[in-house]
Amino acid sequence: MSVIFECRDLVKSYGNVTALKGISLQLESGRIVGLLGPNGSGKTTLIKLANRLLQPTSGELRIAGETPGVKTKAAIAYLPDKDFLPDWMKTDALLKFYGDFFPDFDRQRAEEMLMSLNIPSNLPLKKMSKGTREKVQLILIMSRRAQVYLLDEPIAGVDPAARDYILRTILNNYEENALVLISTHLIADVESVLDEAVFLKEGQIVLHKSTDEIREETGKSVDEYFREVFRC
Amino acid sequence: MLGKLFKNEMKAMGRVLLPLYAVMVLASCLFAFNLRLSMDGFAKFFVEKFAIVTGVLFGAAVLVVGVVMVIMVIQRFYKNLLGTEGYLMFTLPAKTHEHILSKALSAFLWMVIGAVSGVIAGFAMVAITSNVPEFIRQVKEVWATLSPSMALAPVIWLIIMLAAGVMESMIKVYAAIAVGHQFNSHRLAGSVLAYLGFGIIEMILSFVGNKLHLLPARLLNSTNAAGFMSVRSMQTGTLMALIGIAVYGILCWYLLDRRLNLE
Repeated sequence: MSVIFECRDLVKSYGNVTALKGISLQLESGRIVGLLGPNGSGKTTLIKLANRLLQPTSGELRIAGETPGVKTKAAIAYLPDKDFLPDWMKTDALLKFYGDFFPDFDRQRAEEMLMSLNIPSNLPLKKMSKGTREKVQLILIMSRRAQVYLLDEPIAGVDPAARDYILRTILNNYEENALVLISTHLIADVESVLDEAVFLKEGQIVLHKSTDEIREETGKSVDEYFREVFRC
Repeated sequence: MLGKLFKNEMKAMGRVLLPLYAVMVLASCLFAFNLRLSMDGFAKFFVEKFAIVTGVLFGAAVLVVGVVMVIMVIQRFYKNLLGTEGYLMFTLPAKTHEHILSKALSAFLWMVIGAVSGVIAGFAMVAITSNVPEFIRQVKEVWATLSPSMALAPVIWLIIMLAAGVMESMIKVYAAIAVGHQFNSHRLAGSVLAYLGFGIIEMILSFVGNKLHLLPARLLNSTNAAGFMSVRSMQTGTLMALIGIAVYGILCWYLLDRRLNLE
């Protein structure tokens, strides 16, 4: 396995507030990694930097050896933590849109997933429930055969049944040689699918280990250890 | 990628503008048809009342088209690139200048389509209210009178200058929105202030340019003896607009490419 996600001394400041305080991190392809931390710890900032939605204040970030740009955008499938699709678009128009812009988009896979959920192809997003909209977003992202999946809080704000569906969809559809980075603070729900965990606290990495190592060394689940580390 | 972005943008704007343009043309036909019936004395009272209603409808359609067009230019840029949809658009494997160009070109093309629709509406009104063969004969007559004396160059330069001016105005709005987006809060107010600021800077530069005689007076001479704008002044106007496009375009690109701060 090769390093596909690498950042070195990465700093991001918003005015007087420093969201990331010089983090260095290497992640390999073929792994499912949890980016774990409480709200405001810098998880979303790191993911946005990787997507070039923000510019770093200093330091370096590389995806598959490239600094974020057109090439890395073609390699990353990104699920933001908000409704990001134009709500007037119908699902079949969205499938066409993704097919047009991303050569790695597997339309057949997406159609199968949409059909399994009985989501009609001629329904605009704005006429769907919040839960259905989130599923459509996830289906579009996971139907890409990407090198890196960056999933920002994919299970936040959804009911337990939807959480199961989301995690199942991620596990059944990601490319085996890809890196999947899941940012969340709901550790118990994702712990079983993670190979590695990165704990982010106040803009700094306080731990990066395999989940097995954490369990062996601490005698606790990742969720229990997280609660200990981040106790208020 | 530019072609795909352009196609997507045309669709997004078209779903709002195309029905509006259709309503405008239809309203002009209805209005003209009622005028014609009214002139022919057919059911005069009702037809006249209906002509007023369709006339108001037509006027409203023209007004709405203009207002919606302006709103669309601003909204498509602000919402689609700097709102939550920006999380989709800026993660497409496309370059920043392609995003800006696709927005400007599609808005420009929809303005041209709007202008053509307006001309069609006008012609439809004249054609319906007057005798059609007579109308065609009159058009031919006017053209025959004008064409020998009318040089083609001023018309072409006028069209080029107007096109460049419209494009400059749009890129200027985009740049103002991009400047406003640099603020952490009150971004809309920031954009309005930036737009006003651009206007003030332009005025100062124009004033300084005039005082220092940076442009020869003959280039600034806006009218000729016949009272028409001279070709030279229109060329100057075009050049100014192109400089504006370049300056505001580079500013907009820099802010979106190097200083993007999507929240």
